[in-house]
Amino acid sequence: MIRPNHLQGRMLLESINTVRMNKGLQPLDTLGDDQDLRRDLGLDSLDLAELTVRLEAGSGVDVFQAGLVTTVGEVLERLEGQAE
Amino acid sequence: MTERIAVPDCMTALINHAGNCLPWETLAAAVSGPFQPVVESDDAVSVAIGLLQAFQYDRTVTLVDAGTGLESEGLDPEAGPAGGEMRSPLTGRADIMTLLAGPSRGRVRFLTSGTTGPRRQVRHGLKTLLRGVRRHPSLAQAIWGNGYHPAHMAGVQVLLQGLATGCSVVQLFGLEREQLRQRLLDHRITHLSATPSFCRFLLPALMGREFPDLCRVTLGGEPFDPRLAATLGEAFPEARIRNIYASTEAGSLFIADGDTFRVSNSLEGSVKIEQGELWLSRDLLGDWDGAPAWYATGDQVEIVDPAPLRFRFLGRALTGINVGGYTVHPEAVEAALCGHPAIAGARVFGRSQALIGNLLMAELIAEPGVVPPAESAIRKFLSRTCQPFEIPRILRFVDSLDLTPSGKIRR
Repeated sequence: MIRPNHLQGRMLLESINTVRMNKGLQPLDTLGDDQDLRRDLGLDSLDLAELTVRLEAGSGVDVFQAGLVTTVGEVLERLEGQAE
Repeated sequence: MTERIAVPDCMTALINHAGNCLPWETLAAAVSGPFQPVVESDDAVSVAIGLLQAFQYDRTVTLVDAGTGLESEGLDPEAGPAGGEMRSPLTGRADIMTLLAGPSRGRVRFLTSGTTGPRRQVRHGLKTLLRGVRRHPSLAQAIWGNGYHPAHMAGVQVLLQGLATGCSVVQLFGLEREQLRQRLLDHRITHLSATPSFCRFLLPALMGREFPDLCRVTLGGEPFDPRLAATLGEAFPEARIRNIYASTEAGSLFIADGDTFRVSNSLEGSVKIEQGELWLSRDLLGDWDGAPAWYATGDQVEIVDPAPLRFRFLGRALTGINVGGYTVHPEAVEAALCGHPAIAGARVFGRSQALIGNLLMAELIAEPGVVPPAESAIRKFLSRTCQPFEIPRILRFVDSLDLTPSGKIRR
């Protein structure tokens, strides 16, 4: 579960919701570390590409640069790891 | 003998971007001055002098746009056959018109920028340069507004249209919106030639003003945008809007009312379409090293009618953007975006992205006085006519679009 005061978590939730709403999906209230970006959050390759560019604009980190990520937890690791 | 149209007295040959008026007599005297093989300038006056010197001295003049950073250093002057027939010095408008009626062995050399194809040095004589010049009697009192860089092929075509028919040309390229509006009104411009991007830039300055003198707008260099044409039609109710196909390699070739070009009988046999690309035969072209018998233009077109040939321009082959294995023509997406009532202009481009090759992005200009719509609303609008991979994923409203020195959208 993403803690509400967790900076990277909040940014990720906002970005995922922007991508979801742009394709007509409902926004989410919260995210879980184990959620699969494609299967659980309904994002396809184009959506994931959009998500990375949005995240990079906010954090300076390209989460896909060091290889594929599939879950929310893995994205957060990249954001946290490279932001330090 | 070339038939000459009857023209009323017209004192001014050229008004440059700084607003300076150049009388015909001054231009004629300058042309008869020392020969300059290379003209590197952004000023229509210098370009016009160089242009006319090529034909006056039967030699080659190279035009270089001073703003592009294309180095003229190291360029061989290529003055061409010296010792041609010595012509008498020019004295005024009639002499300039006679000079341009030919014959002359003079050549004008253009350097293509190489942004959308190989960089070339293309030489043109009077035949290809004057092919697009119109000599209808109704044009005797025309005042031409040149929305192109004067040293580029398109700008030279407008300069020659004026000079060859004894009409004034007002240089407009590079001016701010307010100056543009003022030039249109002050000089009572009747014929405006420019890219669609230039006209989109100009539009906000036209609102609420009347331009009774303007009777024709000729758009070229970019895909035709029917909604822009409609908006221009409202701003200039007296004007007919036309669409021209031209290139540095060929000069001006086809003119259309709308987006469909018809290949006239005289050009049939010199134009072909293969695998969706427009090809031109050598007789329509200028001359460059290695010029082939048939030249692939790199323009993607769609056949509307095979005989007589009619076609529609789709985009540049080399501007295609790879998105997840699909090729997106940014021009087509820009046209779709401009179909939205709140969007006045669009630039679509790819941003390199590891997952899918490129992520499609768009910069948008809002219609004046309209609140920019939400990203999701624009995407929904696009989904009616575009494939999912053609829909830009990041949309941003900006004040102005990034244009090239030719006044086209930067790719």
